[in-house]
This record gives sequence, structure tokens and C-alpha cells, in this order.
Amino acid sequence: MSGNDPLLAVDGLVKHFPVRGGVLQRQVATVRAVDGVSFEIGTGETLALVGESGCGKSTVGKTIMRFHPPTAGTVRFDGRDLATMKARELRAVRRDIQFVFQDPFASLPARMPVGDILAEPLEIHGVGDRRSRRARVVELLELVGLGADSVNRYPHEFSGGQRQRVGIARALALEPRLLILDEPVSALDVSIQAQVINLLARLQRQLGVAYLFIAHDLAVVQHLAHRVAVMYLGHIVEYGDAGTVFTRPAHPYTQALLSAVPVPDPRLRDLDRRILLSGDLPSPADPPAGCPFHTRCWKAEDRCREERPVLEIRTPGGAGTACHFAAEAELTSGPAGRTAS
Amino acid sequence: MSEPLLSIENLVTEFRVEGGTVPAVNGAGYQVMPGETVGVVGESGSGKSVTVASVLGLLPSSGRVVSGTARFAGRDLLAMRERELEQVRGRDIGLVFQDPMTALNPVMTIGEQIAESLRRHASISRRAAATKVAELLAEVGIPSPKERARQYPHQFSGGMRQRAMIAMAMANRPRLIIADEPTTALDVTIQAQILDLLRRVQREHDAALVMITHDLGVIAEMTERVVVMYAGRVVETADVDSIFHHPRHPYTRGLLRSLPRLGERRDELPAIGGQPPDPRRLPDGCAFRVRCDLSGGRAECGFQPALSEVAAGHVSACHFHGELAEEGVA
Amino acid sequence: MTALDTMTTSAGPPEGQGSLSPGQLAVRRFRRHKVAVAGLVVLVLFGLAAIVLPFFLDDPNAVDPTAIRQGPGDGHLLGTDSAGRDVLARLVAGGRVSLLVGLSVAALTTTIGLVLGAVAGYYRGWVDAVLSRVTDVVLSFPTLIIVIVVVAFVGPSVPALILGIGLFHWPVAFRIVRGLTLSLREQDSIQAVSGLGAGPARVLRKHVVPAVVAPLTVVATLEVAQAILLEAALSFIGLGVPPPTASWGNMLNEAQSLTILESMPWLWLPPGIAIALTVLAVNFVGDGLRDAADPRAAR
Repeated sequence: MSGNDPLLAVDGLVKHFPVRGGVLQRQVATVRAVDGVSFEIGTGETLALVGESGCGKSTVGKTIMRFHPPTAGTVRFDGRDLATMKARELRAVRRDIQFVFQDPFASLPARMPVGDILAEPLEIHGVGDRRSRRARVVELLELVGLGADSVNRYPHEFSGGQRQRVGIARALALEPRLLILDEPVSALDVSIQAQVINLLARLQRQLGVAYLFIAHDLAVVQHLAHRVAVMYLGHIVEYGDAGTVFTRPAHPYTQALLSAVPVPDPRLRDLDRRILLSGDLPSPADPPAGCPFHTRCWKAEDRCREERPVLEIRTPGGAGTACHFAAEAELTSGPAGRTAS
Repeated sequence: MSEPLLSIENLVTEFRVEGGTVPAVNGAGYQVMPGETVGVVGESGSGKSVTVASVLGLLPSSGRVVSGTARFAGRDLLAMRERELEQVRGRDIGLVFQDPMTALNPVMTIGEQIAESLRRHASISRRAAATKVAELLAEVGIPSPKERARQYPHQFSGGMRQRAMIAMAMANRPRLIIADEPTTALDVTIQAQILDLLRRVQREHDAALVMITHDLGVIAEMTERVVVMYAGRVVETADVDSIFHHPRHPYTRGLLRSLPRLGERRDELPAIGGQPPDPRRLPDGCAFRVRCDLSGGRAECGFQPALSEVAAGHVSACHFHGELAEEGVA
Repeated sequence: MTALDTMTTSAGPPEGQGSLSPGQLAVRRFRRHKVAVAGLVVLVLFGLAAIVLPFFLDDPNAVDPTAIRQGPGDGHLLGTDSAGRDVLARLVAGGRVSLLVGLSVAALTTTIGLVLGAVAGYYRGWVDAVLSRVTDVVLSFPTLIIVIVVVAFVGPSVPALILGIGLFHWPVAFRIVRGLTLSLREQDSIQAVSGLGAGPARVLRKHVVPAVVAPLTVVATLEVAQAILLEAALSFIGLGVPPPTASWGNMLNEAQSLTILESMPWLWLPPGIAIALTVLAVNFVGDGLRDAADPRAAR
């Protein structure tokens, strides 16, 4: 944790979506997408929110952005609560918090040339005049490694990786202090992922911007994250600095998740290191009682079916695990010795 | 050595687009031996999926095989009529796609669809087919298979749908399974289950498996031999250990180096520069030269390199593969 | 075979086509649609004729008592009608009225539909509920009868016709715009702009409206065609364009008798063909616009 006051402090964030059905569109169920999530991000640091589809990680990001209003909880940015802020005030705060979407094809307006796309945030917030905005656009293009000649080209003329660079440049136009990155590299080709990961790392060093990095690819996350929060069914089940979570995970789910990642080395494939989870993710519209993971957990006992474990902070660094039977499993660093009990 | 089960040679496929044609496959080819697991790896635009779509007669109407040969168990696939190809697909070759939701018929139950595939290729009674369906679903690890057979695809989770797809592909005991990005749409814990399942059914049925994917981790875990494709061509083929530990093509080496790996954190990933190849604007000569860190603008790269054998069973399409001989990946 | 679809999507040809703007690409797609281009040519010719020809022709209301119901020939290229008026001049003048009514109605209905539809789709909630119910009510009125009632009150005139049709024909445009806006506002590209800090006015003006204009032009062509037909129908029953002003509808109206139908085809054939051709041409243009607006329409 860096410094005194965190840049972003999320406390008890809840987001439920009503499920409507029938002729009268009455609410028939509730999807508990995010069910009480708390974390902090310090200036210039990266917190990774990881988990599988349906765990609620993207909803956390979009709720912080207020793309949909939170059901409960507070989201303090610089001490001010975004969750209850009025729309007009919120628009002003957008200068400081920006969002990068997963799909670089869908998130850029197809009808605008790249120059106009990058100038749009500046126009919205009335930054500079026409000429200075042009200059800023060129500066942004160079910042993300695109040529100034891209100004007059349209999104459809770019490859996926280049479009994602445009998306990142647009998010940086207003010099935000926090960037929420929602799976920013998972739609990209393998050879392009590394380029964008390097770009994000360089931008953070250069600009001191903090990242909330939402992703499912643990190898990618490990390259950028200072701290990691692992989500499962709307809850954070493990939280800690990246080194600890990746090498000595204490929650059975984190252990299984890490062990499931295919290792790009055929010499390691016969090592019996994989924890195969049985079954599917339960529906967030009907989450299990007790610990959300007990239906797939090999350690589960009666207690897990009844009592939900709270995220206990184990160390002063803020690491914690929500498991009644948390026990660190040594995943020695380097792929060569990765075994999990 | 026995005859290859599937043999593709010099395949050229192009697509009609506004104002002309675009090549998607530029003379690609590879072989699959009976019972073997071959991984085909490449990025978007590499032609890895179009290659199999071409030989199985599954190209969209704008696509056309221009030249090349494709033989399955000695029979010429490209000369077959649609009816014959339909017999081959589903009976001799089982197909598993990335997105089972679009590959399955949404208004038929899972059981009906598998039974249909059984009855199309073998004369068995309705009752026998129903029994077989339940067996198949049980084999791919679907709990309470009799009940699940009566459900529709949307009532299945993504992982369960992919299991049903595999059951369907295996229904007629094919000799070859072609799986096109079978786990790309799935989460890692589900992916691990599906890969495990594919391995098991392949072993039990003694079928060959072609695994088309962009994920080098999946390739390393699943395959015996690897075909690396780039810009519609095969650039390297070798056994899986050589590909990962002694790659002899700069593209393969670049991909492996740029991969973020669990358990090691580097300040900067050695990325491959440039963009994936645009099939409409391929450079002359070696298509990779504009991104290559080995080329250095050498004149040779202006000519298309031929695939040459660099070691037993290891071929590479690089003028300078010799320079990579002593290097590892790191 | 269902598996084919998957292969098609994963193995499809690459997108994008050089360095043209999406608008220019749409024009290119339109030009590839031969029938639509032909339709456009016909409409432009009709439009030019309606503007230019009156300067060279007789006054459409000038009565020539020496030539009544004269067949096509010298002096009167398409003959004369029962009052001795030049049919060609009336045909051209009628075209003016028909095109005026068609275009005005289309402009009116799409504007109302665009504004209300975008607002309903963007704000959702009670705004949407109210506007959608109003639309349902308006849709439940039979247009023809409404216009007849309106005309009965204010008397037949071209403006009354335009307003009468226009004020009851916008729900089609409304529904299309509302549907598109509802799906657009969930899309990343629109969320991204709100995320930049843009207010509703800017999002609607700069991003929603431009995105729905293309599909809306297709609706507009349908409105043009329908309005021309409605005008003809109303004029035919004497409630549309008031005589002596010429319109294709009231030209047909004057040619109702059996003798005329049997022996004087020059009185009803020209306006009939003009109506059919115009409506057909407008619909062809609509087809072309629909393909042009949809980048996936491979041709």
C-alpha cells in the first residue's frame, strides 16, 4: 500500500441486476454480480482484478465508472464518493478516471477519423483551442507508438493492436490519474499482446497513472500487477501483493486457477501439478449458501456449506484470504518447479 | 512409416472481396498420421482455420480453393461432391468448433442432434440411437445424461456445450478429430477439463487429433507435432519439444519469447514488432521479413524461402535457419 | 449444416477496404446496386422535369376549348383532358405536387421519429413508456380516415395533406430509431463516450443520431412512396389536392368514366405510369440504401 490516503477506495460495493420475466416484466430473480467487494488502489500502482467469466470483475469496473449505478457501497476517489455523486459532478471527475474497453473494434466510433476520436475528450471538457487540441492529438499518438499520419485514418483501417493503442490514447488524453483497463489485451493476437503490455508498463512509469487491471489471463496480470484481488461469484476470495498470490496462493480457488493455466513448455506437461475442478461455476442468480466456492472445492466441509468465510487480513501488507481452511501452497517460482498440493 | 491419414499439399485458397480477391492460404500443407496429435498454431490471418475449412468443403460462398491437393485415407477430398464430403465429415472426421452455441442447432435437443448424426451415418434404430446418445454423453462427463439429452443447447453451460459437441464429434468413432480453437471461449478451469476430456476420448478411440489454436500453452500441453503458420503458409513444422526448445524460424522464436509466463516477471517482454500480416498487402518474398529481427534487411529475404529440412522431421521456411541452430528460446 | 456457420465466421475474408471513410464506402456499395442507381436516375430525371419543364410547357390550367379530349398529337404531346387542358403540362405539374408531398411527409415523419425515438431509447424509463404508449395510440388510428376527417375540417389543400399524413405516420420511424438507440446505448462505443464525460445532448447529437441516420433514410424512402400513394388515393376520391391544381391523383379522378377508360387511355395511362414508376424507383433506392448502410451486405 502506497502512502497515506489511497487514490481509490472501494468499500462494500454491491451490484445486483434484476432478472425480469413473464408478460408483465416482473422481477423474477436477482443476479448478484458483485456482492460486497472492497479494495484500495494507491497512486501510480496497479491492482489486478482476476477471475473467470461471470465472477463480476468487469461489473466492478463498470460500476466504478457508474456505467450502471451501484446497489450499495461506496467508491471513494480522492475522498469523494462516486457512488452517490450527481451526474454533472461525475462528468467532471471523468477527467481523472478513464476506461479502456476489451474490444478495440466495438469501442471506437466507426464514423470518426482517429484525430477526431482523440480530440473528443478534450472538446467535451473544453481543454484548449482547436490548434492546441491538434497538437495534443499528435502528442498522444506518439505516446502510444502510432504515427502522426494516423490522424486522418478511420478505425477500420487499423489492426486490432493499433486500435487498442488508439483506445488507450483516448483514455490518456485528459491525463487521468486512474485507468480502468477491462481485459485490454485479451482480444489481441499473441504477438501483439506483448507490445500492448509493454506499452502499458511504460505509460505507468512515464505518467504515474494508477491501473485497475481487469483480466482473466494470469500470466498477463503477473506482468503488470503490484497487487492482485481474485474474484469468485461476486466476492473477493484472495487479496494480496502479486508475488505472494502468484507463488504462495492460500485460497483453494486461486490454487486451482493458477494450476489450470497451460504452461507453454511441453517438458512440463506430464508433471502432475494440475488441480482439476469438477463442475461449472454456479449461477450468480442462485449462489450457493455459505462459501461460494464450496460446490467445487476439494477441501469443503460442513462448515463451508453454512458459514461464509470473511476476507481475513493476514499480514500488515493487506493480504487476505476468504477461506475457512486457507493454507499457503508453495508454487515455487519459475515454471520448472510449479507444483501444487 | 505408414501412410498419412490426412495429407494437405500446396493448398491455395482465396476470398472474393470488393474489387478483387484476397489470398487466405498461399500454398500451405501438412500431414497427419493415424493416431497422431498435431497442433496448428498461428495468429489471425495465418490461414490456420481456412486451411481445414478448404479441405472439408466448409468455406463460405466467397471462398474458393484455387489449387492444391488434400487426401484423407487415400481419397481426394477436393474432388468429392458435397454428398460424399458430408459422409466424411461427421463419420470419418469429427469436428469441434470454438463456439458450440452457433455450431449446435438451438431448436433441437442435444440428444436429437447427436442421434441425428448417428442415424445419418449408420442404420440403427431410434431406440438404439437413444441408448448410444446417453452413453456418449456419459462418456464426455455430462451428469445425468438421459435427462440432459432432452435439454436444448441454451440450457447447457459453455463447458457442457463443448462436451456435447465432443460427444457429437465422437458419435461415429471418427479416425480424425479436428478441433478449431475448442477452448478459446472457455475459462481456464473449464479449459483444463475440456483438454483433459479431448485427450481421453482421443486415446480411447485411437483417433488422430488436429488442434488448431493460437494458444501456445495448449499446444505444449496437448500435441506431439506442431505446424506453425504465418500469412497463409507453413513456416515451421517439428515435434513439439523441438518447436518449444529449438525453434528454427524467427517467427516461432519471437512468439515464444514474447509470451508472458507464470512464475517469471520481466520488466519488458521481448515483443515481435509490427502488425499481423494483412492478407491484402503481403510483402514480397518472405512475408515475415518486415517484422523479423533476424532478417536485418538482407537481400535474400526478398525471395520466398522454401521449406527445408533442418533436422530429422524438422522443417523451416527461413533463409537463415542455420543462424538459429545453436540458440535456445530464452 | 450448422457447423458451416462457425467456419464461415472464423474463416471469413478480412474486413476493411483501403483508405476510404465509412461514408465513401457506403456510396461505393450503393453504386454497386444497379437497380437502385437506375431508380435514383429516374427520380432525378422526374425531379428535374418537375422543376425545369414548366418553363417550356403550356400553363397546366389553361383551357383550350377548341381541343377537348384530343388524342396525343400536334400541339399537345399527350393530348388534352375533358376541360381541354394539356395532359403533359398537368402531368409535370402533378409530379411537382406528388414529389413535394412525398418528400415533405418523409422529412416530417423521420424528423419527429428521430427526435422522439432517440429520446425514448436513450432515457428509457418513464420517458420511453409514455412515448411508446403515445405511439401505440397513434398507430391504432387508420391514417386514411384521419386525413379525411382533417381535410373535412380545414378543407383540402397541399399543406393539410402533408400535415395530415405526416402527423400520423411517424411511428414507423420512431420505433426503428428507438430500437436502434436502445441497443446503441449499451454498446461499448457509446458507453466509451459517456465515460469520457460527455452529457446526453452530446452523446445523442454526435454519436446516436449519425448512427441511426443511415437506417432512417431507408424508412424515409418508404414514407415517400407511401405518401405519394396516399396523396393519389385521396386526390382520387376528391379529398386530396383541390382542383384545379393538378396532381396525379386527381388526374386519375377525372378519368373515372368507363368511356374514358376504354377509349381515351392518354387521360389515365400517363399519371398511372408516373405513380407506379416513381413509387418503384423510390423503393429501389430504398433497397440500395439499405445495402449501403449495412457493411456486411457483401456484393
